[in-house]
Amino acid sequence: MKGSLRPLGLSLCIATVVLASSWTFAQPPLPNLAALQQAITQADALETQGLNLNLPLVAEDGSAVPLKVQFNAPLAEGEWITQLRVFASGNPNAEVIDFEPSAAISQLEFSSRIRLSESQDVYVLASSNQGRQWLASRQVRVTLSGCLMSGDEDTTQMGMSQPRIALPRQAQAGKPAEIRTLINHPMETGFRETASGETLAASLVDHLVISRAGETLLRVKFYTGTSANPFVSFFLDQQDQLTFTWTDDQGQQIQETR
Amino acid sequence: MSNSTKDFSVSRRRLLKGLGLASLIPVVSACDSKDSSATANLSAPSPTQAKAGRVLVIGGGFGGATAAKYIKRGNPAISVTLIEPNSTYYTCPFSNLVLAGERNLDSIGHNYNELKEVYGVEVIHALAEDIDGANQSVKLSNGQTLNYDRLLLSPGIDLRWNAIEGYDQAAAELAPHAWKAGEQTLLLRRQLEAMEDGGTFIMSIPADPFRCPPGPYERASLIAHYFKQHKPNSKILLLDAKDNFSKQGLFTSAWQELYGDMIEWVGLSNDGRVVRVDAANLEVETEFGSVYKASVLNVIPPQKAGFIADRAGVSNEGGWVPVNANTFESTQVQNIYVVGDATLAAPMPKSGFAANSQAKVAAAAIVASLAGITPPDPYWANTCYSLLNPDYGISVAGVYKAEEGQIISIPGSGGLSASDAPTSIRQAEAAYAVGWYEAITQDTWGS
Repeated sequence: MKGSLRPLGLSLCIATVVLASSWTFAQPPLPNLAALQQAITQADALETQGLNLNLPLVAEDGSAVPLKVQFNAPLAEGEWITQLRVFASGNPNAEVIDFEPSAAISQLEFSSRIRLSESQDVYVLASSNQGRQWLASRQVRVTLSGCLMSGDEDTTQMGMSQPRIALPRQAQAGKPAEIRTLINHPMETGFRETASGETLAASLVDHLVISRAGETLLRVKFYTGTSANPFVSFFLDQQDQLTFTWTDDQGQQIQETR
Repeated sequence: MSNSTKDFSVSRRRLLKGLGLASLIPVVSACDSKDSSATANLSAPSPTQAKAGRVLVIGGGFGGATAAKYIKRGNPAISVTLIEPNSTYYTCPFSNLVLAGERNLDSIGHNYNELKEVYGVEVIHALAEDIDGANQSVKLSNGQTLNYDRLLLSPGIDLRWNAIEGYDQAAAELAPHAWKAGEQTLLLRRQLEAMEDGGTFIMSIPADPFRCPPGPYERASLIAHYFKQHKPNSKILLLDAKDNFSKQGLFTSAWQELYGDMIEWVGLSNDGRVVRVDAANLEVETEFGSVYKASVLNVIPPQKAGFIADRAGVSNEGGWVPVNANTFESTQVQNIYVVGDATLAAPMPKSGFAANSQAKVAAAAIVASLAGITPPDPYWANTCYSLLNPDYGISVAGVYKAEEGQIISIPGSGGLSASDAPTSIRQAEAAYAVGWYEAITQDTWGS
């Protein structure tokens, strides 16, 4: 079932208070948050404790805002987090990025860089395999700082290239360590126009899968709200024999094994 | 540009009108001032000053020195004490010219004689160590404790040591930041002078927000100017934690035109973010494991508000100071006003010009609040000039106002130097940059 507007609004207010941050809840959910509402299965049972959304209070460049999502609430026997979905209420398309960990991931801490087209509330919704859900939100003010006017047009860049992977330098077996990855791609939203008024066609990296011996450890789904050159950081207990597979919206793939 | 000049003069007039008003209105607000005899107060204000109010200003840079002066200009009866450890302040603006050997450090040093002698500001050369916002008192490194009715902080920035692995205060003696002008500027200059022709100068540049957004790129330009004349086979590598930077198009096309391929810039998406520094070996490592060795290494680390902002309880979890947009009073502690690089004032940049402009707004708000009247509506202006060489200048300008509790850029105001401007315009802007420096330091320190 889908949460109606009102109970969702109330739950969000509670979320804001419990998060112990100084954010006031500025506005009721916007219509374009239908995507978030659809993802919420039981609006009156949303939990807040243990889910953290880290974003800067003020972002001086909305094209690449550093995002970190952490989850550390107690889970039941056999329960794990299957999805952490990020939504931006003020973006043309509210979906930003989804992290879909397997049960094998013990430390749930994911980072990326996201696009925020204006000052707005950003949400993260976590779901477990037993149907429990958590919601956290943060308000971000987006400004273009006076001296940051670049006077530069984006360079035109096509397709996926130059996958990069950073494994921890001194990892101890069995202890979670951070892995970073990035692939060059313009993440063209389909909303941009050229100087002559033509709309640039959408072109996105669709998702990234990290696997070991054919077993998926983490899947990351990208949207228009993900920054150009999608960056992902995550933690794994074991960092060897990993395969990274990026797939774009044309079905093209790039694969790297480390 | 013409818009900005016009709007700025309007804002100046309004500000002066507000200040003039404040000084004419009878003083009624001594009731909320603390009893200064309660603590060992070595510089008790005279009875009239006690009535008009006592203001402490911490930090003698662009923000603090301007505020001290403009509070006195607004109402000379207010007691104003400036607390600043150093007797000479060296400006970050134009310090890149010192690095390039185009100026000496003395030429960017300013003292507090005008504040003392012309405006009657008491200047104490000590470090403010702690602030008690509830008791409205400040503890100094010389043992004094001073009370205030209003406190103005212009704490500048602190460098986040170890935010980049291996980059701490000891590392800064080998790989200088030179992001606070003075000894660090001279150290980096000596290293550049000692470098052999054919060496590589590497600069690590942080993500926003940081002091002086175009500063790293001006620095690269002026060092390229020095290399071109004295060490023409040398290279400059810029490793950046961002994909976009201030006046990027203007900088990159001028670099090509003036310095060929001497300057290479690597942005965030091409693995430009430095995550580890080995200062002893002058090596840096980036996010995805590239290691570069420098002949001279300049690390500009991530930053936060100066430590006294934390002691005062005015900084937030991000390390910067949120302020009331209309007055620059802290949103967290009453009667403490904060200006300059330490504040969250975007879209205004962290620049000396912005600090000077904010200080005038805060000064007017303090004078008005001590007189029990409403402060005037604020306007701010900023221009960031950058020199690509001593005869090639570019600029970005903005005019700002407060709307619904936020600072906004006035639509249609300000602007950026044209990308296709002729050499004569670049030369003129370089001359304007010098004029700007002389005018703003005259306004701030009287020298």
